[in-house]
Amino acid sequence: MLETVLRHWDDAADWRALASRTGLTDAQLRNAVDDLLRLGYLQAERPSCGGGCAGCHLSSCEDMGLGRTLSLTEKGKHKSTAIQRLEKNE
Amino acid sequence: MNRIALSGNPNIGKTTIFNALTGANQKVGNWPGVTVHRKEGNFTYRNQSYSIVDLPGSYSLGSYSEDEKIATDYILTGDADLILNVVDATNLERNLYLTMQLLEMEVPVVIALNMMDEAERYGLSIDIPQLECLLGVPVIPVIASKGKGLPDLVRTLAETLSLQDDDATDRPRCRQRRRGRMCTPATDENSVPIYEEDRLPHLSQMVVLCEQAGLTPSLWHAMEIYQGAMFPVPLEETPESLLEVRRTLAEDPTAYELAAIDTRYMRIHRVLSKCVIELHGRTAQLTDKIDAVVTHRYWGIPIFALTMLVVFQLTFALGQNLLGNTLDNWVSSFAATAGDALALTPLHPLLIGFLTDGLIAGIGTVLTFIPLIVILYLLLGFLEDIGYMARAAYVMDSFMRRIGLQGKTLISMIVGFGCNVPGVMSTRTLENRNDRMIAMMINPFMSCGAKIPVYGMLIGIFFPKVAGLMTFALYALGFVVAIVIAKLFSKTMFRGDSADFILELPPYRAPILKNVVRNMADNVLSFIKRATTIITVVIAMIYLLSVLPYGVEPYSAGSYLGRIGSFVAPLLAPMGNGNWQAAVGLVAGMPAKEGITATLSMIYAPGAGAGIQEALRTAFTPLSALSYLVMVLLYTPCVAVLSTVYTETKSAFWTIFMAVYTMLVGYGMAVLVFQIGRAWGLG
Repeated sequence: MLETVLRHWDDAADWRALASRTGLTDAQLRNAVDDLLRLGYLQAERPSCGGGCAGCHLSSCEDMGLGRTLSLTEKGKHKSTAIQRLEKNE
Repeated sequence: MNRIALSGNPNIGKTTIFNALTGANQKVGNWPGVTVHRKEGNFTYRNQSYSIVDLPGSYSLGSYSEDEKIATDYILTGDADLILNVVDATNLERNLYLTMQLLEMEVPVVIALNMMDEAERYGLSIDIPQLECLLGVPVIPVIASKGKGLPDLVRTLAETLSLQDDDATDRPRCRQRRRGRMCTPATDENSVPIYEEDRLPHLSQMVVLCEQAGLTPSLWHAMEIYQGAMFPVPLEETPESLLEVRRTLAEDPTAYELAAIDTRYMRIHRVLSKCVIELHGRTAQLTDKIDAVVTHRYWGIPIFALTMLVVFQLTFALGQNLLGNTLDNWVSSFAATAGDALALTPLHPLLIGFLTDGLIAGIGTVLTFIPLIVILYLLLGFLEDIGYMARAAYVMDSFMRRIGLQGKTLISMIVGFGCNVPGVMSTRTLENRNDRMIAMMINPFMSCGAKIPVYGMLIGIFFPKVAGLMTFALYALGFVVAIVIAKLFSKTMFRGDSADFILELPPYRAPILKNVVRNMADNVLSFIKRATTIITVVIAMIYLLSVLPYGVEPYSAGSYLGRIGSFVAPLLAPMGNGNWQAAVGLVAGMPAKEGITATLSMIYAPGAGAGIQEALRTAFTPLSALSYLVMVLLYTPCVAVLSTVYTETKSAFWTIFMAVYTMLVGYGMAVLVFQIGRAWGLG
């Protein structure tokens, strides 16, 4: 499951495309992403401004209800390439 | 006294079970050498005392985090006689991962299957006896929050511990026999998890090797080796079958890491496929169905646009027409009474003028838009809380990518809808400098909260019947202008490749009223704070300029204010606003955009803001009001934003560039709107 997610990370333009390519449900993909984050293959950022501002409608920049932005780490890129290479050889 | 360790994922009711079992008999301390809390307590069942230790919540065992290390070390030391593994019935796949690891460790386990009520609501039907058979451990359904199933859980814990004392090797079968149930799968599937070897070559040999090397539990250690742990024997003692694995791991210690984890998940899938019906449940399917519509490639954006249109329409219907007008009447009455009272005091007329025309009229007018802000942020807070805004960001991100722009720019644009200062600051998350510069430069076109009073004032007067549509159109125009400029910059000044990322779709959730109200209250309080601090300074300056030189008629064209306005006004004539008052309003918006409303109120209707609507109807036409709104939307951002741009870019050039080019874009668009409108005979 995790290897499949990394295998398709680069091809998939967005979350739904990734779910579709890997054949995972939203919940399964979320679990897989959490695992890959914990293992250091992915990195996540919460939309944040780093400081408050009077007049800003965001009570907390930590939770804007926007979800996280996810990208491959160096470890993730290396693994993704290795999986793809292995698949080609097979 | 038997000792039980409580293990499970975070936030699944572990502490609720711990508290329910131990009551007040708890001790809180720290785990040795770390600052992680350690809770220990006692409970008694049939005159037998049991000690229970609450292990830190973790998704897995191993050494990826401090919590994991503590839980793993504690279990491996064998201090606990039994592990009570709390599992969330609504997310079995994720939770059983930890269970698999516990089974690898060959420790006695009892599973508390929590949140059974939620699982039923999700449409999950779990065959618990079958699950017990497949995992080889007792599984007790509980609803910890309601205390349901806890007596059965305590009884099972006591029985399992007593059975363990009798015959440690026959634990699961004893339990099944006692309950009179028969396991349907082959008995060798019980007790120990069996993993496929296709992903982990020669796993069984690795287990044997660990056993021979004295590493127990051997399956756990074998899996650890595949996940990058040291080989337990020197190279010359490594069996031939494992030499290739050893070589691969020496080259890349993470070579089998994901395969090992996937192997556990494959086992979990096999187990769940035999004992869970409707694995992904009705609710999950409903989520997928909703997402298929609201994040649709073509329908997603129109649905988002329609949603925002409804938000703005409701904002004006409730916030402006229903509540705003009432507040406006109260403020006008208060201003009139205060004006009368101040006229009777021996204060200098200039000071009375400042208090009535400036503070009370200016700030009062700005504050009458509070209901608008209350309703708008209640609605936006609701959309945020249920998870819709994440979908909106998602569809817009897809759109941005399709037109060749960096999707992450969108995040800073959405932040900019609140305030452009954090909007500019949030561009820090963009790794690529060119992407960041584009995101920063287009952020002022996002209509910030400070512009809402101007919209409320002019739209309320000139376009009351289509107020929601007009507000939506302004927000949309700001967005479109930003996209066009971004595309232009990406092809000219800031060319380069963008970093890839995927925007997560978080699950939908029921809105929490407390969150929505707190979000709205924060916004209203910060709005009031600005209205009573920064705006006061702006008002004081405007008032001073309006009564100087000494002896001039206040708010006349002869005042310094009038002279400044008259100097700028001819430039604004092509956009239909060639009077000095309108020009002064825009100048007052440079320090802070709320200053525009306060200033227009002061200079068009001195005398506590009375008759402002009539005065504005005389000064503007609907078309000139529209071009003025476009100018307000797009022209140079406030000083706070420019100062943030300077801080972020460390460049006076880019700061001045932003101030100048946004002014030109705003002016150009306002002129375009007015001239096109006039050509169509709307003027």
